[in-house]
Amino acid sequence: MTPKNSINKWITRCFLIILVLSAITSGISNLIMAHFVAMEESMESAQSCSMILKDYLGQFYSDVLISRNESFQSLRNGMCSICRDFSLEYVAVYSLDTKEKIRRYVISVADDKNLDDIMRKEFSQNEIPYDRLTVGEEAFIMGTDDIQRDIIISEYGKGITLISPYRNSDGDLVAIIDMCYSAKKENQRMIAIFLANILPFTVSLIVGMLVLLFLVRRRIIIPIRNISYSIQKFARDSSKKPERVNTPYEDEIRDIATSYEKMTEDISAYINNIEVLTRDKLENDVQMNVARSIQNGMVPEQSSLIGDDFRIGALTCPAKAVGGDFYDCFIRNENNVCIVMGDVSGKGISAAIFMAMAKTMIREKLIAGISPAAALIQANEELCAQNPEGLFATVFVAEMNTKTGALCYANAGHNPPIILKENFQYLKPGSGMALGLFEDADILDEYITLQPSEGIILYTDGVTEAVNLHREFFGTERFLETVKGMKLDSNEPEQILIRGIRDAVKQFCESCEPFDDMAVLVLMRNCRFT
Amino acid sequence: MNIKKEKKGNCIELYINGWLDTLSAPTLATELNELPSETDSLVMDFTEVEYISSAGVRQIVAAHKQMKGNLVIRHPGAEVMDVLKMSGLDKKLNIEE
Repeated sequence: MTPKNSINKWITRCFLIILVLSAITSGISNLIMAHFVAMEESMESAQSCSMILKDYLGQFYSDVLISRNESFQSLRNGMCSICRDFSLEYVAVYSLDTKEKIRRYVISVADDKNLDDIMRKEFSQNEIPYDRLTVGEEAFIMGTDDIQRDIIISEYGKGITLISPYRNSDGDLVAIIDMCYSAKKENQRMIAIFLANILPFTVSLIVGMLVLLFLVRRRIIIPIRNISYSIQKFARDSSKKPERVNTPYEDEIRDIATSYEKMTEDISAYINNIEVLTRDKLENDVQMNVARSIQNGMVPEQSSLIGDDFRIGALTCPAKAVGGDFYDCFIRNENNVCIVMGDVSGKGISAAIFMAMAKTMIREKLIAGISPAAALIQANEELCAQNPEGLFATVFVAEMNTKTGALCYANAGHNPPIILKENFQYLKPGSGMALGLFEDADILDEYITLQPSEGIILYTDGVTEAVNLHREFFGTERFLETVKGMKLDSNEPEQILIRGIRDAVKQFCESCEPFDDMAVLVLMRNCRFT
Repeated sequence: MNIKKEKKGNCIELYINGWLDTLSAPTLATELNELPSETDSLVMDFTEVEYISSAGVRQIVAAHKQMKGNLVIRHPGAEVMDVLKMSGLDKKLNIEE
């Protein structure tokens, strides 16, 4: 697509204008010069013509005045050849009678036959009266010897006469030699001089300009136009890599082309990058949405389970990236209640599915009536058999007899719970292997008894490994201190604990969004403070 | 996190530095994928590791399985050791303290 005001056209037009202007100015100056040169040449030729004539007149003048004799004839012949040689229209010799106001023609000769006849009839040996002298004639009377130039317009056309005085030895003006060029001839000569001068100049100017125009086009305009086309093409469809613009010389244009090439490559790369990022993000978002739906379906954000002899409260705080924290609590039979807390490594759909599997398996097995350790060991075997991605889950499971407070628990690599006896303290469970890693998980059942008003706090590492702006962890110590600082004088101490822990972690993270999600579950036995 | 790799015959030693968490674990995974096929034992030097998350634990287990048990965890700090103990891995892995 050529722009409306193309540089190419503009430069070509400028070149043409400069060409015409310089041709005109040089033409005019040459014409003026030719005019003067032509005049000069006329004068010079008249000078030499008059010299020859004066020589003739010196020989023949007195004879000529007397009669038409041989001398007259030879003078005529001589003047005739002068006419021819000097390209004169005619040559005449006359004397002035200033008293009578008469020009007395002695002889007049023209090269042209017709004109010669007329001249002979009109002027030869004739007396022609005049009103006043010409400027040249007056100058001769005053004593000048220089050739004078007059332009005469007569019935025979426009002519240029050059007159020269012929004096005797005493210096008296004897006669005047009148040499006439036709103006046409002088113009022709002028044109010849003009052409001789102007032609080489004009031709070299035109050739020079054309060569320059060609070079400018080749070196500047065409490369720029190619770059421009390439840019336009790239602007229309940035997915296609633009063709390399050929630049013949290592100059600024090549710099532009090179920079442009680099720029388009960068832009293409950026666009490509953005497309990939957008696609990845979309994919990631979809994954995260699916994972979140699974997690929300499997793990409610808050739940509570209240019996005659126990209270259970639990909550999760999902982070932006969906993790695999899960908890579970259910009444197994009239005497037993089960609590589960787990954390699947990894994020996204696969972690969510793994979590769903683990949670379902554990609940199934506990409901079937086997002990926590046995449930975890069986679940581990099943998870190991179908775990291509090498995911794993740390899980803590406990079952409490609500009447006696006997608590049987088993740990598969999960964070140690806090128990509330006379004071809060970390339980030191055996460290069974996390589920999904190795088939021999080595998990054992352990026992503890909770007295009325005692309890246990299960949590995930989202609590202890919450990080603040200074890259400090919330940590197990701070966690224990936080819990110790809580006043449990309420009918719902489990709610005070889970909310208090959540708020403390959020306050610790300040504006820093928790990277990991967290879950907290509190089981209190038979708590009646009032 | 940074990983420096040293090759001693058919044994590769990885010197890990910094936090081995969800964000950096993929780097370690890449490193494990790029191990030369003739590698017959792997040492992960944990002297400079300040923190390990479950994602890091997963990579250690992946390496343990990939090397068919020929993996040594060298000089884990107290924090890392706590995590390894908690998840029960200390019983499975060769740990040089």
